[in-house]
Amino acid sequence: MTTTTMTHDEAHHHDAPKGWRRWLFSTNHKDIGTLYLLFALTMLFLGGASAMLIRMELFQPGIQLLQPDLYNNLVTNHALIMIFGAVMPAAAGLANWMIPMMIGAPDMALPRMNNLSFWILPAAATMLVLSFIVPFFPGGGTQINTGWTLYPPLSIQVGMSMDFLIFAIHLLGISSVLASINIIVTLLNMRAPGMTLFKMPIFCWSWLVTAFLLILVVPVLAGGVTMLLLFQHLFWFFGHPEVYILLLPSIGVLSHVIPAFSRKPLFGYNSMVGAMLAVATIGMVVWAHHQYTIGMSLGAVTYFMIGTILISIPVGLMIFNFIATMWRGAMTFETPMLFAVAIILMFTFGGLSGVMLAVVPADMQYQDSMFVVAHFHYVLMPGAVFGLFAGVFYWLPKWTGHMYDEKLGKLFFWINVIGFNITFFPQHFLGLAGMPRRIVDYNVMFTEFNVISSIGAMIFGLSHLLLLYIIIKTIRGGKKAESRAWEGAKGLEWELDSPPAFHTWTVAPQVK
Amino acid sequence: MSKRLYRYLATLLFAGLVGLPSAHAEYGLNFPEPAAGVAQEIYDIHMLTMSIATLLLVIVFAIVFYSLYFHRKSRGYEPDQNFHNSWFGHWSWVIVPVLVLGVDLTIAGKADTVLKEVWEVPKEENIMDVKVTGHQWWWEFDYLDHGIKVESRFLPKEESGDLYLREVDHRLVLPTGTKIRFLHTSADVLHAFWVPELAVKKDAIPGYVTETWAELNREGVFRGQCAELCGTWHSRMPIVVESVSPQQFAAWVNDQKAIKVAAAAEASADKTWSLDELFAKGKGLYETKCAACHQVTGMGLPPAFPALNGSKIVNGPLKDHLHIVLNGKEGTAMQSWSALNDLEIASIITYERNAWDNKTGDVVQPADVKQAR
Amino acid sequence: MNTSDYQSQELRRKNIRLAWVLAGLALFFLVTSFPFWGGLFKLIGTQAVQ
Repeated sequence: MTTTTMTHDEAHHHDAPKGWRRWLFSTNHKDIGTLYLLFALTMLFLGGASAMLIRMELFQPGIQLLQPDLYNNLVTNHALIMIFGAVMPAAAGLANWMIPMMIGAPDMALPRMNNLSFWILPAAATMLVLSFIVPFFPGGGTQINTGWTLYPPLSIQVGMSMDFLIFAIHLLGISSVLASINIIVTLLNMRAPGMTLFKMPIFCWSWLVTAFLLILVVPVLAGGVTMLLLFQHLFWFFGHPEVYILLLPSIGVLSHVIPAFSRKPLFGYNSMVGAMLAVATIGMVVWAHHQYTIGMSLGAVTYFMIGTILISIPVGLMIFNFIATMWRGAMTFETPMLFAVAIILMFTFGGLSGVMLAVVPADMQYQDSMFVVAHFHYVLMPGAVFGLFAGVFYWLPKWTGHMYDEKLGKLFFWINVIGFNITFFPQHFLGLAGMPRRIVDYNVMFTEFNVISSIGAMIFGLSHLLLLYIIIKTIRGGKKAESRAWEGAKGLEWELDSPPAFHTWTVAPQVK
Repeated sequence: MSKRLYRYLATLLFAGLVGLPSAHAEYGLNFPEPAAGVAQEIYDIHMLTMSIATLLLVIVFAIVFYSLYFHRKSRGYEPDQNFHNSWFGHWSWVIVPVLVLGVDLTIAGKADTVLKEVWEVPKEENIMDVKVTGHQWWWEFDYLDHGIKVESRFLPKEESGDLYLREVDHRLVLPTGTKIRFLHTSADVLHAFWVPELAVKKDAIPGYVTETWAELNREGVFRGQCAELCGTWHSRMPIVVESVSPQQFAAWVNDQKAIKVAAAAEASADKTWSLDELFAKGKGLYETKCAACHQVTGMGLPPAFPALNGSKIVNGPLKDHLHIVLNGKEGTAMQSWSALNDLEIASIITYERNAWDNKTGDVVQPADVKQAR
Repeated sequence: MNTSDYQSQELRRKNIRLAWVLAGLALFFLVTSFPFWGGLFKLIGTQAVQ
């Protein structure tokens, strides 16, 4: 069956249109996936640059580099760009590339809508950048000094730049809802014959859950930013599931990377699916742990505390399954696997400080301090971004047809992970000692750890230039990748050529 | 500098290796020593959860590193393809959640007890009420039982030195051994009152009043900062609690009352003030109350905070100037200043209309302000 | 050349129908988020006075 499919694909190999039309009018899942990934990479550098400016300002006490409103605007932009510009599009890019290839479908179910949901993104990014620029012109309002939470009444003081930002958020929301609809339809209707839901690769499951979460919570954010009323509850009803939206695709990636490099099947397929569903469900109903200090009734906070602590059960199960997959495997440590191991260790650390934060009385101290900043970077960097790095390195040979430079990949991993830890580990101490987050200037007592953190941030930030170099180098050439680029890799996508033909699985494979 | 840096790097490594509990206090690695009963319990639960977390982390790290070392292809380890089909593979989805649930319940059980104490303000007759109002960017403390009010603003670097951003002009003075209820609210945007030694943190939300409480158990000076992003000068909202004995507190209250009476007497005196007197008074008041936004130079920080130097309102009709100071301006950071007395407003306005390049020559008397209210 | 040309008419109809159902779900959440949250906010109640 597989061989006949290959020859069929060959015939269409030269279908790819040439020039800008190929990209602007593309309905091909691979091209759109590439666009998503390139967009995410651009935004990663934009968001990273703002983070580095923030850390440069915090290098020493005093206001040296950035005026307070500019600083706060960068804090706002860093969050929004990283979440909506870098992580979500990168995950969507992986989904676009891999889901049809994994389930044996010729393309996404709604290819034209796929084109639309990508091309909304650059428009949204432009609006976001404009919201940063308009305050420099008369009548443009002030810089957006609210942080990404945009709490009123502070957000009402801002003016025109806020209108641009709200429009940008609406566009981003529309884009991700459209992409989610497409993914769900693809997963439910387009699977190859014989591939039941419970034979679907875990990456597909993770996106099925993520897409449903997006459809449920993004409209609520849209409602929230429009009416600016009771906004904290609305914001976090979106904001907390958003954390799992960022996390789950990476969990999906890990469920492929770890078995591949341990050379044995994933431990606990069913419990993995169950854990993802449980995380999504519980994650929808515990939002208020982001706002313990707003003055809820005792009953309400008790509920939110216990609910939040219970999230550790499915998340613990995921981590356990990963470790059990490695256990008694025959591991090798290529770059994707190195990232996977780092994720297991550091995400566990971030998850445990999350349990500490869930405890309401103790959160009276942690809330809105640098401890929280350290915690969520420990969750989101390993949990989301490193997972995406692992995925990119894992599938790069499949996409480009070339193996990336393994030495450089490992070098990138070590600089990146060490830089990350130097940046964020000291912030725990800052928070406990009493440094609030989002301040532009601080007392001399906080100097030492801020110096360390800023040095780490420079290393961490600049290391991504190496990532860029590796990716460009791999696209341009390198050792030819085989169809099954990794010894232990399993799944339909590895039965296609590297790089795959422009149209693949035009005749669906039969899954046994 | 570099020597200090090395010392901290070494501490960091040390703390990372042996877990946080063993190395705190002198390097500011952990919470400062609590100064209230509930704060101590919060501190204890923090240490408990952190110890549990550290222990679990050590276990996970140990298992992962064992596996990383022994289960490697380069050591010739053959993968166990049926590991997930063993009894362990079939039942781990029950075993693991049960174990995690056990840990969760340990934490939640302890947390629940402490939570009740933190959350429920004791119902007592003699509890002392302090209303804490957040403003952009200063704190107002109303001692509701004593009828006095303290305005607390950050001190510029020249006056506070090493305590810059951790020191204020007027501290929140509180007695030890007394149950104090804080009533939190805000005049403009969200703020949050946070003093780590008291373990009190609550958002100040305009239009709402929320409660917290504390009972100080030792004297001392405890410093905190505003913890909710509140705009431009969020970093300049320190909170300094001065904990004193009840006797000292009573003496302090009397002092404050005397000051208040003297100020009121001065303001209501039927005196006509000269330009110079009002200008001198107004300069001091302007620089504490107005200069955070409009700047000492009167140039403001446009576009958020307009310049007063050469402003149309300041150089225009007096009526409009009085109106904006007394009522604030909707949708901006400019709030109503009607809580100030007539003399204070008169001197601020006189100062603004005659300072910098503004040369209106207007002298505003307290009586004019009274009429405008 | 559009890859949806590989879809049969029947599959295409099925896909579009499911997409509309999901869009309806999203719209439902958008519309209900307004009154729903007002009500839930009152239900949770706050210890806040007024």
